[in-house]
Amino acid sequence: MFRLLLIDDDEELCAELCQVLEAEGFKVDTAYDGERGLRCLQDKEYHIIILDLKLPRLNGYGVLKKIKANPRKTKVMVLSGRPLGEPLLKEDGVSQDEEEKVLGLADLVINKPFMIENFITKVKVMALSVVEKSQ
Amino acid sequence: MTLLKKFQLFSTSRLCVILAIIYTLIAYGSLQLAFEGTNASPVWPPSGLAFSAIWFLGYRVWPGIWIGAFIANMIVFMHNGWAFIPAAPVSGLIGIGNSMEALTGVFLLRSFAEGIVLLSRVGDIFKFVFAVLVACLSSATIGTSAVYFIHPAPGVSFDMIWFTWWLGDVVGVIVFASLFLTYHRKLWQISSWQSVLEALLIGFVLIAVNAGIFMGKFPEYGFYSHVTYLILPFAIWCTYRFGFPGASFSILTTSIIAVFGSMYHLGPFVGQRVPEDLVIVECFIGVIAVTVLTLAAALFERQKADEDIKYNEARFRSLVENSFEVIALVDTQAKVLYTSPPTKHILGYDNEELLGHPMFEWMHPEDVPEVVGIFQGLVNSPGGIAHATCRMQRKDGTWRWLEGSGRNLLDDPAIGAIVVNYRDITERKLFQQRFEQVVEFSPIANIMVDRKGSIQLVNKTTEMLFGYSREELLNMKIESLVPEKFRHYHPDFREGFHHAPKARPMGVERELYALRKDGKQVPVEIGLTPIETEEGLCVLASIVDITQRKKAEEILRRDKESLERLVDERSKELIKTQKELKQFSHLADIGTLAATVAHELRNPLGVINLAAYNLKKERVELGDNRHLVNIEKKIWEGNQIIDNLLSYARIKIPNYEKIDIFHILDECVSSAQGRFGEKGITIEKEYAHGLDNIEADANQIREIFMNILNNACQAILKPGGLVVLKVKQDGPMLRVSVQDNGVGIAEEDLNKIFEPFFTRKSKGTGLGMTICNELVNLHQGKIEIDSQLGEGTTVSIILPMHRRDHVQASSN
Repeated sequence: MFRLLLIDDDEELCAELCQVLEAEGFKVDTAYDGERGLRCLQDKEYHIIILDLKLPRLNGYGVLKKIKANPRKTKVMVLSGRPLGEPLLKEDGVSQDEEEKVLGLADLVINKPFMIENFITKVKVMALSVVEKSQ
Repeated sequence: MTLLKKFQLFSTSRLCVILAIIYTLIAYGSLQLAFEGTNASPVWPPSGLAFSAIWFLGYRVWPGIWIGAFIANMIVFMHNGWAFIPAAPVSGLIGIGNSMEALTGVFLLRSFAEGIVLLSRVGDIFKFVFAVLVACLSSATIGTSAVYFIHPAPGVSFDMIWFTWWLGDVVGVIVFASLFLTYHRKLWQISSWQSVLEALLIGFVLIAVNAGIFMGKFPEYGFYSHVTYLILPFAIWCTYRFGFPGASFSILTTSIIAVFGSMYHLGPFVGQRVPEDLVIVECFIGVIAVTVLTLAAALFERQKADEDIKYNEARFRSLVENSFEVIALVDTQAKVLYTSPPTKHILGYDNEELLGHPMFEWMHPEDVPEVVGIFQGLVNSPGGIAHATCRMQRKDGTWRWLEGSGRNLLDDPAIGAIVVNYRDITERKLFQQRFEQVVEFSPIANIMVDRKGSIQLVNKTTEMLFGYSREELLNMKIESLVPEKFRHYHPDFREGFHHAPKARPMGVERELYALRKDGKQVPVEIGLTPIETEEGLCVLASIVDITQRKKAEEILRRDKESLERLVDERSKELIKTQKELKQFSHLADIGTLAATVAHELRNPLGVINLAAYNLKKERVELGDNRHLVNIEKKIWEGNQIIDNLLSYARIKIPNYEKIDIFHILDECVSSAQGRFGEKGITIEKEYAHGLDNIEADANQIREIFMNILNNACQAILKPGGLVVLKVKQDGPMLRVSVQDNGVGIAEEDLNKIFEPFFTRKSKGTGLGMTICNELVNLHQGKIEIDSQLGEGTTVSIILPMHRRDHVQASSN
């Protein structure tokens, strides 16, 4: 059973995306803020984490740094609201230089808006690579 | 004489009283020797007293004389039994005579021999005697007349009384006045005990001889009178040895002894009566007195002359010996005959060491030939003068520079030699040499010019600056070094400087040039300094070549100009950059807003999209997905609007690189075809061949043409739409035109087309053309729009092939 953790503060988005992914056969947990997301990680093992950057409490950059601080096989897919090089907003809490470095930690960055079919394909590809590694 | 000075300070009346008392006493004594009843005495010292008193104390004391004479005569007349009446007027007249005698005598002596104090000259003695002889006439005449006519004495003739009177007065003055007149303290000073012994001896002998003659008893009257001449040798001896004091002693001794002898009927002149004898004695005394006085004066004169000579000699000797100059006498062979003492100081030799040696022996060998030549010339020109400068060796071996002049006085019997004057000028010479060395090795060109403008001195730097050799420069006119343009003014300037010689720069506020031998002119600065030389006032010109400085100044000036130009350009660019930055900041504000809105909108859109997706999946079996398709389509359009907003916000300075414009255009065309293909729009490409890569930002170029093509396709509403894309090079510019056969743009809209949020489309942000315009402007290009309503639009994008340099500068 493939376990995914979806960290996004948009409850509707989480619900719709869960349905999309579960329809594809993934087991999906959701967390609505960064801290809760990290707590989920302590409780369970996930194969893939789908991470939004704009999050209350601890934002996506912070979560990503914490996740990648420990060596795990968990893969991280970042859903970015804007392409690289876009001006950062104050509440992002990272500098322009830091952004690239932190995003480099992610296994994949998908820019919004994305074609749902493309997204599903990418998640599946990532899931396969996790399986190959674990074997 | 101090006693005399005290007397001179007394009041006239006091002096008169004193004089009257003394006069009375002496006159009374003298009158005892007078002829009976006449008061005519052959011995009359009061006349000497009166003369001396008037001489030393002034004419003012004459009343003392009168009173003294009056009283003495009165006493004697009254004693002789005269009545008061004849005695008083006679005495008064005699007093007047005596006073007049003294006054006249002094007056005459003063007018004959003005200013004398001592009877120290022979001439003065004669004048004195003459004055006395004349003055005594008055006393004798008045006195004799008064006695003879008012109260004649029996048996006495007028002429006898007169002569006795006159003679007594004359001898009285000569004997006594001369004692006072010749008195001087210095003459009476005793120089040694030998002279004291001699004085005592001669005094004793003189007294003895006088006594022997005048106290002796001679048997026959007048027969032995010539023995009196024995006195003369002794009186002369005494005078010769002791001068005026000796003469005075002789006269006094002889007078007193002779008069005493005669009074007691002794001596060679003894006759019948004392008064007659005394007349002869007086004659003798007078002769002796005049003789010895004359002798004393003559001796004194000679002594004084000797002293003068000695003084002068000492003075000249001192002048010669203490002079800084040496005086030497040499003969025709230049052998030293005499040399003055400063020689020792200058050459270190004693006079004796030099005498008899030719002066060339000590001369520097280099100087000998020249000086010998000058000396020979001098020897051959009697009375001539010559000058020379040479080095002489001191006894200690050192060399001294001497400057001398010689005068040929071989023909002068007093000299008979060549007189050489010389002095030590070593210090001056050393100073001159130092000065010349300082000038010679100065890095500044120095030229010394005399008043006539001819060059007297130059240094090495001058030779180099002007290109002339030293030999050529010396005695050249300074005007030869002045450029022709200024040459004829120069002598006036030169003359002007000599009128007010002081150190100053030449030609203030004028550019000065020096004319070289090769005709080139060199810019210079010149300082002028007056220098006093042996040849008169000269001017030292210090000339500095300022060519290098001028060049440096020129370079500095040019640099300054170009720097100013550069600053000007840079500030223009800066202003432009500032304008651009201002624009960017404006854009950034919109960008921030746009990014925020876009982010916020994307999330709900994304959720709607997901929801639609899930719905579609669930309702697949329902078969009718028409509404869901519409929802998805609008979601895409919404996303497009967000993209546009974001890309407008993203506008930034182009990231230049070499790009293949055709490749980018192809991408855009295929994208457009993908989107608008279903509308049946054909896109034709007309690419010019052999185009280079252009320098531009690939993303921005792509964005521009995406927008333009999008607009073109959207403008086509009818079927059979055609878009023609043309690319060609137009000089340094690339022209890309996109022509469509769409609806066209209304004329009134054409100038609003680049305004943000302006649109005539039902769907559109109104940012497309704004973004295009911004991006084209950033590339230093421009957009041309040609449109006919209902016919279509041609949009031409004109871009430079290569980035513009100053844009790079401002973007950096």
